[in-house]
Amino acid sequence: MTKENYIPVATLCTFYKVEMSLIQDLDDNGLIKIIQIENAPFIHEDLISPLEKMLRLNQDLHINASGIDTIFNLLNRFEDMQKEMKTLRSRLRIYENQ
Amino acid sequence: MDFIDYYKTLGIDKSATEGDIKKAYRKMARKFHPDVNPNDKAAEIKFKEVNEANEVLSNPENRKKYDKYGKDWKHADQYEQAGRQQGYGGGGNQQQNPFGQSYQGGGNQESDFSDFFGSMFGGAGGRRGNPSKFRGQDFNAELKLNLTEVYKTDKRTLTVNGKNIRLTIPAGVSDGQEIKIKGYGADGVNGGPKGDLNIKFNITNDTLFVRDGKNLYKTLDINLYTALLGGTITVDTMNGQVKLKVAAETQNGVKVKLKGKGFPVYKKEDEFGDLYLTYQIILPKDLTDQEKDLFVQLSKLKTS
Repeated sequence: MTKENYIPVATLCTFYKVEMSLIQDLDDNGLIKIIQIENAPFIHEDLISPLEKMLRLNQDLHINASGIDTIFNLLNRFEDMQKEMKTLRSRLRIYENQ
Repeated sequence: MDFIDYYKTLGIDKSATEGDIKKAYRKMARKFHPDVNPNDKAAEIKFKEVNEANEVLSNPENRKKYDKYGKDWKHADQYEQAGRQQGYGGGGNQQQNPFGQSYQGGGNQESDFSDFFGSMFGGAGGRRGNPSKFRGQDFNAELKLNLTEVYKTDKRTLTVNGKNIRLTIPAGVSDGQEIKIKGYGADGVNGGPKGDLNIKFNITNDTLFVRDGKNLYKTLDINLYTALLGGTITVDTMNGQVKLKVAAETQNGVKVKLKGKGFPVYKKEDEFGDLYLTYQIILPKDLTDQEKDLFVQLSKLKTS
């Protein structure tokens, strides 16, 4: 595995001023995926956006990894429901016009 | 600038202690934080207001000025004003801001501008002995189109961050649909790959059809005589007029399907949905005496 597109966890911890234990906690909860390259932990760059969201929830609202997992699950359900509502609204318009 | 009652924003009164402010702020932040209110502009605005109120009231100096000067409190001290301008959004002292990272509000979180990559753009990467490669920032754009414009594949030139991007919009895109154009974001850092361009379509219906995915729906008025005796009518579709035979004794509310006259299927060349027409029979008005007589005769025929 090459380092391309992967960012060292140590760099992220310095940048976001967070403890390695928090990143590890997020990994333990299945929220991110840490991979080992040459015995050092890395995160794929595509996970940076969701990671930032998790860190904001942790730092701004003092929510731990389990709480973040719960929030993410609820937000996913919320998003699905919004999509469904949009579809149903669109269908309702068909009957409203009759 | 209108006076903003920061106490009211946080739901506290003027005698609130520092602890009360902190408590009220945290409660409001949990409620309106943009990460737990995705795509909610109202929550985002409220969150900014709450932050602004907290920045002022949680700082005893600023609070004192605010209590004394009200809306002009910022002008009380030019030096402080300069300091506050370094803050985010409505203007606040970064040190007072409990949020370590500035929030990039709204939109799809996965495609938000990243603080991390943003920092790298700021030159942090250049300070390293062995500079890392980073992917460029994603650009987000919203494109407003009419339904008629997305009936056919169209080419557009968009200007995103000063760059002209030629874009092919495939026929059949949906309202709210997002497409990602790989490599059309900002340049990567230190030779890293380019970011992506995320475009969200905002489609306004400028037609009399109702769209549900690939199918279109419309209520069509037909007169009583055509409904009873049958006939041929001309119907407007998205791609011109078609002649349609109406069967004799067609009932009100009957639906007919015009196969392939609906909306194009996204990214499926030459594949179309259907157009569903619901007949609405219009009864004649202002009947002449002769017409009335004839209807009376008809009704007698039916009841006899």
